Amino acid sequence: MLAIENSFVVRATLDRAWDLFTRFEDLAMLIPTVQELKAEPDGESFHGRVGVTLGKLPVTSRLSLRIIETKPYACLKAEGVSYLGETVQDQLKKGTAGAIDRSSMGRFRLHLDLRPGETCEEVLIKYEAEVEADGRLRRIYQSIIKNKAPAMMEQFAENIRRNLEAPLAAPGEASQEVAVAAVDTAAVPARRRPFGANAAAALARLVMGVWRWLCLRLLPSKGIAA
Amino acid sequence: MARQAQFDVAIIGGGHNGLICGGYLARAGLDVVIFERRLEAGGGLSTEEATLPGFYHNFHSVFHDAVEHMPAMKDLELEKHGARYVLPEVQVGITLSDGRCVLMHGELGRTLASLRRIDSRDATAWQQMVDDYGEFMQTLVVPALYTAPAAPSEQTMVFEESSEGLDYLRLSRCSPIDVVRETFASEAARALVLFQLAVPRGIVPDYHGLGMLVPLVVSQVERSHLAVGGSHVLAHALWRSFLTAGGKMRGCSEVRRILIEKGKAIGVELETGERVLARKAVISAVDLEQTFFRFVGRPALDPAFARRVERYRLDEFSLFGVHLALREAPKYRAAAHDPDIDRAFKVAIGFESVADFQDCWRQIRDGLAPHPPRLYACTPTVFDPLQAPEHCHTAFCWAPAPYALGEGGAERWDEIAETYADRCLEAWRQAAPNLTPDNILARRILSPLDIFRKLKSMPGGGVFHGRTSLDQIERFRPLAELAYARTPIAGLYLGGASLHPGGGILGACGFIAAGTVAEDLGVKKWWE
Repeated sequence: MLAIENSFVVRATLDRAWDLFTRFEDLAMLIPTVQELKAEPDGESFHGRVGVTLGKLPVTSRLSLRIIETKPYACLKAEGVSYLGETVQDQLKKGTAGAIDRSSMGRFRLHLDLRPGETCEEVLIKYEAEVEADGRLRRIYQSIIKNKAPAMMEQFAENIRRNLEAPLAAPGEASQEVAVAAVDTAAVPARRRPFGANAAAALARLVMGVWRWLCLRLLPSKGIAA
Repeated sequence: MARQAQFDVAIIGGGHNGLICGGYLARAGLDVVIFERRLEAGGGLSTEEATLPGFYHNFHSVFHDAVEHMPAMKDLELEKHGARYVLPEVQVGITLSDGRCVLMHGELGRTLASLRRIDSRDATAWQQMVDDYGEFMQTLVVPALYTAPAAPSEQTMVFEESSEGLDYLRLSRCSPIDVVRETFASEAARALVLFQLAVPRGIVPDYHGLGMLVPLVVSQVERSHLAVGGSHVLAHALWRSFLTAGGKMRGCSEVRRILIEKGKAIGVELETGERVLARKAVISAVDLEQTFFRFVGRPALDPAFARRVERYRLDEFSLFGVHLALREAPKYRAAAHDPDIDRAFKVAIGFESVADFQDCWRQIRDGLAPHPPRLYACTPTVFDPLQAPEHCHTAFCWAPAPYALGEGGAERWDEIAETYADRCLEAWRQAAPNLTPDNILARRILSPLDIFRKLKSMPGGGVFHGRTSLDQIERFRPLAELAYARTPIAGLYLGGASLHPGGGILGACGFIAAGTVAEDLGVKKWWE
């Protein structure tokens, strides 16, 4: 198993950071190798495609992940699998993303922690990622993980930073696209938010702000090692 | 009545794959015995004092390409048990009849410099291929050698979603000759790649579907190492590791048959009549023909399966070897062009162009001992002086050759071996003029027939345990139903080089077989 952890400070408000965390598809697309992600009807499971580039060769595999825990304004945990071979269509024919051949896959867990920074315009984000491989293609997966995962996570952190530190659009203007830097050729620019979404986002922030106030009063605080 | 010996696992064949398989399973807690027909285990890991006292000759494997990647090196603690290697900096030298040479160094920059002196376009093309495929070869292809083979659909599915991937798939469908022709301008650069396919990989350069081996060679993710003390040192290290783990080694023990009861392999019977039971598994690390037709016997086989075993193709070529005890190491004429040729690990003589490879294998396919002989030459003592007395050297050349000669079959090698050895030396002397009779203290010949006489698991003198062609690699090696080491007979497994990824000292076939057996027996794979 490969475990990677790091923490970094982002010049953004806690609200904005948590807002990104709640838009899991957008968040996941900041992982450099994620090419495509679609939500399942339950809103907490996703399937898609990841790719790494080895030399000039893109190697893609399928991805299935789900959110397993969220603590508002505090943390988000997700876990998933990636596997070679089956297309999304094959998965869907089998009924669920869980009904795939589990004889060969990469598994990962991602834990993101969010804490207020030293000022109200800063947040501290800590990530812990565990990746491992099972099954017949384990050795190949391990080799790819070992070669790619550390740089990938660093780039993920950088992409989050860029996304959160990018200027927000003024009211009435469309959001700027935040270019996502890619470790490999697999990255896709973050999706443009639809026009008019900002008002909804502002309302959501208001609701979240109230919820946050309640959470901070009720939940125990947690320190994060830098 | 004498009590029958019982073990958990009986392995037939003490070559490096059998030893590796046994080593992993013994460390997993199984009670393992290996039966080896010869006095000394190791199979192709053979070093013998075969000419004069103090001169040690490696008759079979010499170029160990996978020691940096072989899991067994670390898992079985082979270094602790005595395996040590040197990595020659100059890996390959192609001598040209015009007195020049081109070299492949361990360092890419130096290889490019050598190519530039022949044709600067080839240096550029070589660098481009390294950039395009080097990371892929290192990260994905090398680990795939130690992984049970993927289905063909899995492999293509990974690549068919991009134009670069499709280009790679196209390249893979080509023959190596096609790929070098479309990539490199000079015949010398083409030869530099093709030369590294037949030995030690067993790939004939015109085999279609193996074009991906060109970037594998060019990216140099596998580098040839020499075992210090001779190739047998690796066998001894494997042997010691196996015994340390509690394994039992039975040398001079030839298996007569595999015992099968109610469709399950339950042990072996030796030529002495002794029966040894295997409670959990019998693993055959020898060739397919012996395994099924001699040890199991046709009556116990489904006729359709037996026919499929029959159609498994042996190696298309063998090697004719001339081993020398020398006063002085060969000194190549091409040293005037580049002195590093004298310290190249593998030297090509007579392989200067695509046409040379085609001519060589055309003659082999016609049952002819190629004329002129085209050689793989090596002087191990340049890198490990202890393989000969002080100030002396051992050297050898291998000429690809057929096993069965068109006139007279394999037995004719006994008649012509001395003459053919003279021709080989004459060809070698054209490139290294100091190989005069005065310099040669003694010689020993090993013809393709001699190879089979010595190593019964190499029928047809086939050192690679079966043709490495598109229909007999990966998921189809040796047969589709045998690709994961399991056989149609319960409790019987394969563990030798007829499995993916094939021959050569890769330490892969036995490793993969150990994984399959452990899975089936519910034994924890401690190495994961």
